[in-house]
Amino acid sequence: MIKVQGLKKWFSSNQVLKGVDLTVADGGVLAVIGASGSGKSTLLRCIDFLETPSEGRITLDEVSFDVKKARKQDVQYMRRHTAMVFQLFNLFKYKTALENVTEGLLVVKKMTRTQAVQLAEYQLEQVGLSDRMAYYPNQLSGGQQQRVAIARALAMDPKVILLDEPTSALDPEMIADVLSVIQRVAKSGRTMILVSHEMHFVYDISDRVMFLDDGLALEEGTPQEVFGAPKHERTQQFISRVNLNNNYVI
Amino acid sequence: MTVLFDFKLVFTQIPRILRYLPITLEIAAASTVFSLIIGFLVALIKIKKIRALSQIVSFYVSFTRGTPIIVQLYTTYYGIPMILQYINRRYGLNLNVNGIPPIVFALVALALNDGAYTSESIRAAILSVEKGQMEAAQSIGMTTFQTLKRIIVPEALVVALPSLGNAFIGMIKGTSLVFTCAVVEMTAAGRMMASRNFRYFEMYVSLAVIYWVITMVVSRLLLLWEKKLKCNERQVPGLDQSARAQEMV
Repeated sequence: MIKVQGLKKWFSSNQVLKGVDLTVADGGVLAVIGASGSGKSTLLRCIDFLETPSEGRITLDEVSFDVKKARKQDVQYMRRHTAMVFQLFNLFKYKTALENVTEGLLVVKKMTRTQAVQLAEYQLEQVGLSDRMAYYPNQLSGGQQQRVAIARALAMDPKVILLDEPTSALDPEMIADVLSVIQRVAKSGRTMILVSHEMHFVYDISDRVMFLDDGLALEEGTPQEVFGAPKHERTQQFISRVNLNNNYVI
Repeated sequence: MTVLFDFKLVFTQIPRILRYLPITLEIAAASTVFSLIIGFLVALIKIKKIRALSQIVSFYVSFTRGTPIIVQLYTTYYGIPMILQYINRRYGLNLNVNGIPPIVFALVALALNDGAYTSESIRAAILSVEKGQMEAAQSIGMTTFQTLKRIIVPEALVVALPSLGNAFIGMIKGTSLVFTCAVVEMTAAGRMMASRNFRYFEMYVSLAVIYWVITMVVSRLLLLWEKKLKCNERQVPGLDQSARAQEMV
């Protein structure tokens, strides 16, 4: 279970997160929606300590700490047990698809090469890329790169997988491939926090939806509640602007 | 009457000069290794903006770039013994001031000189690595050191290699100045040989030919290395460009 309490983040004088609480049970999928600049990405990045949160408390299973007093091993614990899928994939440029996946297994998990390669091959097969293992990122399409990134994240067997707008940088034709991979991961019982603009997908895949507005979680509930009967005026505006029917069919 | 220009000598004396090639290459290689270490540390200090150190290295870079190499060689040659003498007097030690092998002065001066220049190329190269590469490494739990060693430095090397290679070629030629520190490498040895038959011009032509050939070979090797580092530009067996283009559409 992952729990975030009162998370605040300032970028110098600009407060981006104003005290966000969230809890995701094991196997749960929380989708964070909201307009650009509402703090969605920062929230994810704070959980993975790619940004240092300013205030709040983070609990992941048996480890709980005040972010202000986060020690090096707390940061390392969070990074080891969460895995991020980035909007721009961020695959290691000079490593093949296979090496991208084995890297963490070898260096962080200290697996033997044989074990690492075996697991990486399995993960790449799972995302449908068994014929692209020897390719470098620049030789892959965007959708393929993102699927490698998902395989890389999954191979680390994280407690929570964080997806930061995983399809925003993709051409429409490639989005479906990536979404179907994510959907399968969600169904496999992996705990997930997903930031996405694919509302139809969010509706399908998540069991909780959080609407973030200007650094505050204005509303949280099941997808049916948030999309069907939004309580807050800002949520209503946002939901009415995104057309649920005009999304890609998975 | 003797010939004006002894063309044959230019080539026949080359083997004798080449006996000093190892020392030239040793100085160049060792100074380059030290200069890379210095340059890397300076670059890290500048990037991390470590306060006190940052000012010291800025002074070092500015001073080194602002003074001629020959002046630096002389200052090391006369300066290091002086520092040793000072230490001896101050702490009552008995370090042998005259026992320092001349090559040490050469290495110190060349490494310090080159380190100042390469620090800038290294800094620029490290900064050119996309932030996302580091974030990706961190997000899978790699430590800062692991990230630096396995991701950032190899990627920065691809960017820095052309200018570092230039620096190395400059270094090979720079070794011809270390006679000022009483080191006998190819150029110094050549001058001494020429002083016996007064064929100075032939000697310098021979030296020029040798340096030119060495730098040509080295730059060839560097190009091959660069190609090897850019592994992602290699054609993957079975990668059909047209199929890929179709996928990208």
